[in-house]
Amino acid sequence: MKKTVLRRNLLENAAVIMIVAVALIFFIFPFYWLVSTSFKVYYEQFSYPPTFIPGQAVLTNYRIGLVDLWGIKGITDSSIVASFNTLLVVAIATPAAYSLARFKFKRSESLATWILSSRMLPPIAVAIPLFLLWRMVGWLDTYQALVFTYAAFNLPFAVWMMKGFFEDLPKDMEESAMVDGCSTFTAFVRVALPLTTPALVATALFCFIFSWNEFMFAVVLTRWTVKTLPVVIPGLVMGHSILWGAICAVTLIGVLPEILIVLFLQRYLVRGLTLGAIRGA
Amino acid sequence: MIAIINTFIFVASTITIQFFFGLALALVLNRSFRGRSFVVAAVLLPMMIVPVATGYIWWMLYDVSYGPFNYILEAARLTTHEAPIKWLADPSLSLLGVIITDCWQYAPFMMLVLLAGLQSIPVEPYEAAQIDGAGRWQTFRHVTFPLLRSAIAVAILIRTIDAFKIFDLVYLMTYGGPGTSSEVASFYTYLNGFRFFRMGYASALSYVILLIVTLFTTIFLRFLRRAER
Repeated sequence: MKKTVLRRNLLENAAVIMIVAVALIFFIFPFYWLVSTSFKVYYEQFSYPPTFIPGQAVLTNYRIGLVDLWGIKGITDSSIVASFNTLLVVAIATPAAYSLARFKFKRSESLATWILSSRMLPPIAVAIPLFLLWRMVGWLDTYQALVFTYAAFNLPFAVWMMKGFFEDLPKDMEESAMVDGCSTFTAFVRVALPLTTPALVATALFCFIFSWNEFMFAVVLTRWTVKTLPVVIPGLVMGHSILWGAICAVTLIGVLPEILIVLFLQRYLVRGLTLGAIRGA
Repeated sequence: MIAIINTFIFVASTITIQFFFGLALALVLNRSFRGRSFVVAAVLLPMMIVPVATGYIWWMLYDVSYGPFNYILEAARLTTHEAPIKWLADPSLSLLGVIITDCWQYAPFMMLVLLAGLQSIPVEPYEAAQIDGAGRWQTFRHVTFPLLRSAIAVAILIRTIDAFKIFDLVYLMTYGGPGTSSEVASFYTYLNGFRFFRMGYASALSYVILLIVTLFTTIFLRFLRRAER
């Protein structure tokens, strides 16, 4: 009896180690390749057999990618679009979510479902109408076109996530605040908001990452004036020479803000995702 | 038509692979062992990379003449330098290449949602199962699985909706090719609208895609609600 248990544990441990090892190799190897290529000299990027450790580490790729080929522009523009988008979405979604969570009015349920349904829309389905719309308004290739377009996709997500958090919040505190003479609005600002700050941070983070990474709308709606990071990177593939080193360098710089944000706010992120996602269904 | 078939192949295979891989990882990472937080961080890394860059990284890895994959395969004596695997340039493999890349980027998301779901399961049902003398498999089948159902549903639903929208990777890695071997619905719409300037046709196509996704999600949600009862 004891022996079989022991053997089963051994087998199980072996399986666990196998899964972890496979996962680590699968997930880390491409990332390692990205880091090592970003330091390789140009000819070494194309050498065969490929080198796993750069022969000599250089920073040329970073200079080419960032300074010579729009990298800094990409990062600036991505930051502008992502920050304004996040601010806008949070400013609209938080009160909207609060009222959906707290007040039952006629058809409030179907209104909420309707908001969510726009998340199911494949972006390509609205790319053409949006292109025509922004062209009519004269907003093609502007920051505001991207900010508002991303807002349309981030809002449903943000509303549903925040709605879940507000519903989780016990009503008592706001009620006692109102007994003490607060209006609905001050109860919302002074009581409900401070209590849901972590949720707000998580929501804002997801919105930020989405607009930082979005590619299709950026390609379709912008040309020269606005160039977000995901649009800059394909520009490094030129006709017959592909600047692998520069691509890797720009990518790495582009991931850094996200990694930093996630490291600092890891707690919020996982918690926000769980609650928001599971309630979202 | 080929675009629709390819989309279905893409959705079905990525979701299946990502789900089982993500579930296995989530179950493993739900245990405590040394270096666990490092593994979690490493697994989450691909999720944060700009999808565009993901396409290029994998393109580089797949490359026929200087990519490390073929080098490793040769070193392991599985292929020869004269007849390398052409990955993205081979019509029968190009879609697979995109599928593997998609799994690299989004299996971590599946893992994250499932892990979060696992961690929200209280201890009591497990204790009860142990008292009743349930085995490992029985515990998983009758305790873990039912309690994890909403997390599973959310993970699959979100990923499926997103998988139907796949555009970036195809645009960057294969441009639908070689031929039409990796053309998917969103990409086909893009080609028609923005390359061939058939805006009307493209708009019609977009509505067909929207219809399919809506139909799918509605059926899925209804199925889910029935299962809950």
